[in-house]
Amino acid sequence: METVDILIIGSGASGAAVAWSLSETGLRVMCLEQGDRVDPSHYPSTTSQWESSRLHDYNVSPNVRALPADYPINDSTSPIAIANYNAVGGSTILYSGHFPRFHPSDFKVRTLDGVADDWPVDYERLEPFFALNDQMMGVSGLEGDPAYPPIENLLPPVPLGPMGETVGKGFNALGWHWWPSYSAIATRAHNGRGKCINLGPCNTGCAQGAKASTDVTYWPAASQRGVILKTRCRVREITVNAKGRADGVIYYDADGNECRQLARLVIVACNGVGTPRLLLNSRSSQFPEGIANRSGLVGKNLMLHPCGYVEGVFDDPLESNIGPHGCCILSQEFYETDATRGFVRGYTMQVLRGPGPVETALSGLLQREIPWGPNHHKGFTRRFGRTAGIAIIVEDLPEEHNSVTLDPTLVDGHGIPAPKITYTLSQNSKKMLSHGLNKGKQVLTAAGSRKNSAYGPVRHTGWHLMGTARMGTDPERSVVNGMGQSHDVPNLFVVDSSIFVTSGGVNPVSTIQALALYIADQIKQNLSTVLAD
Amino acid sequence: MSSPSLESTLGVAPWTEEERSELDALLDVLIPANEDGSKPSARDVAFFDYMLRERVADELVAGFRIFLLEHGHVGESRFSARGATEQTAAVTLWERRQALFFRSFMKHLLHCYYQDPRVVRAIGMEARPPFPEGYTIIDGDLTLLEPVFERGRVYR
Repeated sequence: METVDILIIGSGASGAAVAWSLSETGLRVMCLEQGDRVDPSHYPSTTSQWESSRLHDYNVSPNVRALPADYPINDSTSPIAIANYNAVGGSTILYSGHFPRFHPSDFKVRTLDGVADDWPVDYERLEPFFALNDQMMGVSGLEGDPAYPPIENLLPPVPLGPMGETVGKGFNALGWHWWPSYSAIATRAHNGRGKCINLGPCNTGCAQGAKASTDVTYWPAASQRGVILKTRCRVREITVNAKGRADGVIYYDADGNECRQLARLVIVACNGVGTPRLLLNSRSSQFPEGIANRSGLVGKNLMLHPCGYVEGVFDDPLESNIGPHGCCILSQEFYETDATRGFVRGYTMQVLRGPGPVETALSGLLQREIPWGPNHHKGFTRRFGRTAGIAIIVEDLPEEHNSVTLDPTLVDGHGIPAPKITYTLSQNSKKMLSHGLNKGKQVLTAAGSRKNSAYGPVRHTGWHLMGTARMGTDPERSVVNGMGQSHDVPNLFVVDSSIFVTSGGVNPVSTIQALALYIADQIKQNLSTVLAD
Repeated sequence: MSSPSLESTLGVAPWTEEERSELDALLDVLIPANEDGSKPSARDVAFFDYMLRERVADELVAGFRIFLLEHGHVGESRFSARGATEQTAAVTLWERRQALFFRSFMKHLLHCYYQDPRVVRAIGMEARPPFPEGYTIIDGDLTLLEPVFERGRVYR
């Protein structure tokens, strides 16, 4: 059996980035992905029935999709359900592409605010990798944002449209920060990808290829440089040799055969739920509680970004039913800690465009704004294209009781124990969420909304899966060190969002990938050490 | 409107002409045509075909039959024979008594209705998939950001 030099598990946001970076070493690099390649010609936006077709194979919940690539997740007791997608490109296939970076303060919350822990890396160290990632993914936005250190070489921002202008005026009326969204959406042709044509439902897959899912960004380049990507291969466990070093994996191939792949270096990139699941399932006499888990912290400190939703209805047409749904403008007005608010840390206001016709009618019916009967059409006309939404993305601080464990009975199609989510919102998160919902209504009113609604946490928004294999310098209090290397197994690395020390208050993919590129760079600089037997 | 394959597809008792007629009447109450006729009644958007395509016919027909049991489908008492006020009252009662099923029924009806090409055109959109033509929206006025920029740095 051939031994590869580097084996990466997972081909999503982080796995793709690290595969591309390490491909320049000339070493033999292989990636195992449990899902398949997706065909963009099948995405919902290619059909007139896109609002229905997104409910099935492109549903955000693996428990609803239940495709062969998916594994079940027991999140029945969590107020926030897990969202993901399993394919080449991982969850970037279905994300909205909202792409802000973590802020400098996010990496030093203990120093600045006396909570949680500082990261072993900081914004300055990651900045070159943020910039590199922006070029690989193709990130649009506008330079000069006073909420960040300078960010250069952005593609033109996604269109504000009448809705963005209207809500922006609302922020101005209150004197609050706002800015065009950082979006992983090519607004000009970029690296062979077509420019955005405002299909709308980015979060059902981008048939145009303008949204930066890693199947169309990193993977073509990585494959061209020789990385072997094997699909429909689900890893059951990482194995260790007598010296306590990872020596490969056991996985099931597309035909369900149990296979063995040997490797000199193993990199885990399965997200904040899939990674602890795999580590906990990798038990041996040397690691009876799961590989890399001598700290007992694998699966602990799960952070999910509780999300609130505020919606305003306007009298004037906003054309909010078209354009990239999740990307328009954002506000960092309440991002940094202000003790007078009654909570520590802060949140992002991500302004969302309005829904399509079906979703408009459905939400209007549930809110009794669009009745059935003779007044149905009048009610629909008063809402369609006239709504603006705001997602309140709350920074979730780490708490050990929020966790991913192995479900005692639930298994996937290969009989591998499935993850179970145990999660509650902290008082700090609840206060922050409540504050955000109120501020969201305030800004929409200032923008001219005639009626607002607000609620949270929204259940099916558990996209941001962080903290379950945290970084740190102390092996007793962290799973991996400052370069993503397991404290316990020197040739085992974790590169996905499970290594986040804190969650920030923004969508995490930009930071996930910058961190993955940084770790890949560290591996390259220390190759002889990390590969030494 | 009806599909010849419906009966063979349903896992429940065969679908009768009377039941079809009553369902048409119910759909017409839930979403009637608009005044100028540009938006069709929900009875005219091939809801049967939708139920089959989405594999929800068994669920919806079974629930609809409960509605008929409560509100009648024969003779003078049948739903379709009643006046508008009585029909509205019957549907209101149905909505209250079977809230979850009513919500599910309406969800499917709205999916069917608002993806019908005539309806899509009537609400001002082109009846086509988003891809490959896409849509055009204005870039917007970025000078609105001047006060934000002038306020200066807000990060730590």
